[in-house]
Amino acid sequence: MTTLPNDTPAVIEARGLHKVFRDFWGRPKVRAVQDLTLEVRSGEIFGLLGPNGSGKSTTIKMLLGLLYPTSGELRVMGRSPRDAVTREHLGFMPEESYLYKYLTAQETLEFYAALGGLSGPARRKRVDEMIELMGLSGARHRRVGEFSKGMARRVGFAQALIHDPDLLLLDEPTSGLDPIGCRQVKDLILDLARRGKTILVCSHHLADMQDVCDRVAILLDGRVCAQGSVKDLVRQPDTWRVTLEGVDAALRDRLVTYLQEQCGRPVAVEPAGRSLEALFVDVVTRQRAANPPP
Amino acid sequence: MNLPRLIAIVGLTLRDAVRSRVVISLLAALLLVLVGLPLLVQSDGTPVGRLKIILEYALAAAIGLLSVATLWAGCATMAAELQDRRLFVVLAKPVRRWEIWVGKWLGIVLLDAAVLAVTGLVVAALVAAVRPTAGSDPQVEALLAGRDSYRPDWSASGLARPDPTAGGDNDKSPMKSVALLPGHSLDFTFPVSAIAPASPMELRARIGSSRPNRAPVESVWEFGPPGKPTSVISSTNAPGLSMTLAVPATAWSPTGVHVRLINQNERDPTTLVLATGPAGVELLVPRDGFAVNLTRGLLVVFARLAFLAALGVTAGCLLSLPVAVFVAAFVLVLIASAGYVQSVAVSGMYFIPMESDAPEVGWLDRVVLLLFKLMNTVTQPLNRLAPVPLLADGRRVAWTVVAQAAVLFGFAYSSVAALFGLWRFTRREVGRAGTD
Repeated sequence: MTTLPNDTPAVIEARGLHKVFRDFWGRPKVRAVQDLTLEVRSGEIFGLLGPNGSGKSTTIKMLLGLLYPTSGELRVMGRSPRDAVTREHLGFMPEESYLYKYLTAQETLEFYAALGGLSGPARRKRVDEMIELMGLSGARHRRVGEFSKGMARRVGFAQALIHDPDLLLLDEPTSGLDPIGCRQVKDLILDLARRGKTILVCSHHLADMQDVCDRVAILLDGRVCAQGSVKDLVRQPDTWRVTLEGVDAALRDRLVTYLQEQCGRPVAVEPAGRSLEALFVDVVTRQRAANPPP
Repeated sequence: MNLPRLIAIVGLTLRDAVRSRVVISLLAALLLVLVGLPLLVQSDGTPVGRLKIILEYALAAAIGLLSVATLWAGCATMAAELQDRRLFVVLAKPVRRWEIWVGKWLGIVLLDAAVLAVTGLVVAALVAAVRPTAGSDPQVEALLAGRDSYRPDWSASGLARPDPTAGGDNDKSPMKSVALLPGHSLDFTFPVSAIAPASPMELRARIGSSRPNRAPVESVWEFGPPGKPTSVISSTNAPGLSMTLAVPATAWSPTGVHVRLINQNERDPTTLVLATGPAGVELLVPRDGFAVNLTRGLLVVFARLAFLAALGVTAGCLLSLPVAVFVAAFVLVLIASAGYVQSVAVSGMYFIPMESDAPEVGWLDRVVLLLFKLMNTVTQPLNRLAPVPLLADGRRVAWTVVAQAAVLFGFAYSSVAALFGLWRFTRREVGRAGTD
């Protein structure tokens, strides 16, 4: 995670955005997005959070030019999202891997690379890179329809990156992935941000979002309820967590007693430990190192 | 236009059709129709009868099947991808929506070309299998030749020339038929001096009579210069039905083929009525071989399929899959009913009235008739530029017909469908909750 200066150029600008779905007779049926104003700056990882039906997917579809705002202003890279030139700089990974099941992994990436404007040796090289990056070398000639959900997600991620876009829209990027895959995707997102890519992520996995996002916006009923940097939003004023290493039980008890006397209120103490994800990754990595798959 | 993008979409459409087994299923069904139908339908046992079944029924059924498959593929390639959201990912790439439309259409058109080529080869093989030794059966040779139709020059008969541009019933023609009293004759000439002298020719005519019953009609035909006939043929045929006469090669002269029709029914006085409209007298003269004629016929079919593909892709762009298929099926039914639509539009009647009194025409009838006339404007060319009736009758599918079909279906109709589809598709929102 990085902290960007405020004068960093905005890649996505939404001002007073509304999206109303109407019925057959033109009467308003659903107000999916209401007065949405947000700005995603170049090089940051921005999280769009919210429960189901909060307007996240509608916002992403408007950013892709699939849906058109009812009112308000929306600019992506300074242009209208409906402009095909805008999409030259944009990669999209949908929530489900909407892939052509009869194509192999390699054919899939070649197809999307061609749509992304790549041709000839540059296309072949890029496809090879993506297959290598996503760990699909052993399955490049297998049809996508035969893939597990996790493998299909990797192909989906690869197609989003295939034309090296500057802006990535990722809808639930860790959905369907095992913890190792999740970790790899999060590492990849962080790595892409380090290389200057701007990333907008939608997810229900709040822990994952906290791990990677610089800033987040929380949507509810189509409105932004909270927006800001993750650090600022999760911070509790005058509340601190201290981690002590090399401390035995006797010293711990003395310290707790001292702190309670100083603060005048109970102090929460619990043993420090790794997250379950960290434990899982560590165990599986060690096992695989000891018994590599054939 | 970005060519690699277009090629990628065309390639995807072709791969989809091949790998989802659409092509193999379609080829199997076509083979079944082309080979199975001639086995199922009883012919008169002659080679001509068997060939007619291949060309009239099996080929027509195969083209019908291919038309249905083309419309369905056009609908499915867009509507299904929109429905299962695969197209979202494609639309998120820097590809124009019209490139997607054109790519999908081209993919289906190329597929049609390949399947149509296979159909042509199968038909040619079936014809070769049924055809007896070349030259041994003149009727077979006549059927498999691409023949041009010549109309008579009526000036020799002293009659006004019938209007060749008039419609099916020839209402606007100055003359629909000629009555020939007993003992009288009628002279006319076919101006066919451009053809080779030894060409095998066939005369077709429809003769009715003044007899109240359906008794056969006797007529005598003289071929050759008036007064010096080189050949005389007596004929008996059912009244009002088309009759054919093999015209001897000696009938040809540098000034044309002279014909005299004589009414010799003097003992049993009967007036002959010779139909002179477009479906009346004609001389058929071979111009091309079967292979060339079949190829031209399939080119006309190809142009029609290109239009159907455009229609299907447009329907698939705008409607959900079931609705698109329903609309496409309606269009197919409309095309198949082109003959009925034309007859209603021209005659102004939905069906032949059982009573002699003219039926009362209400405002609803007028609206429906207007609708039929509008539909006829669109479907009439489809009816007129149909190659199967020509092939099954041993008539030449002229290059002008191919050119008309290419311009009308391949360009004009397809462009209208494309422009409407693109106009709507480029404005359409994709991914509305609950609608895609």
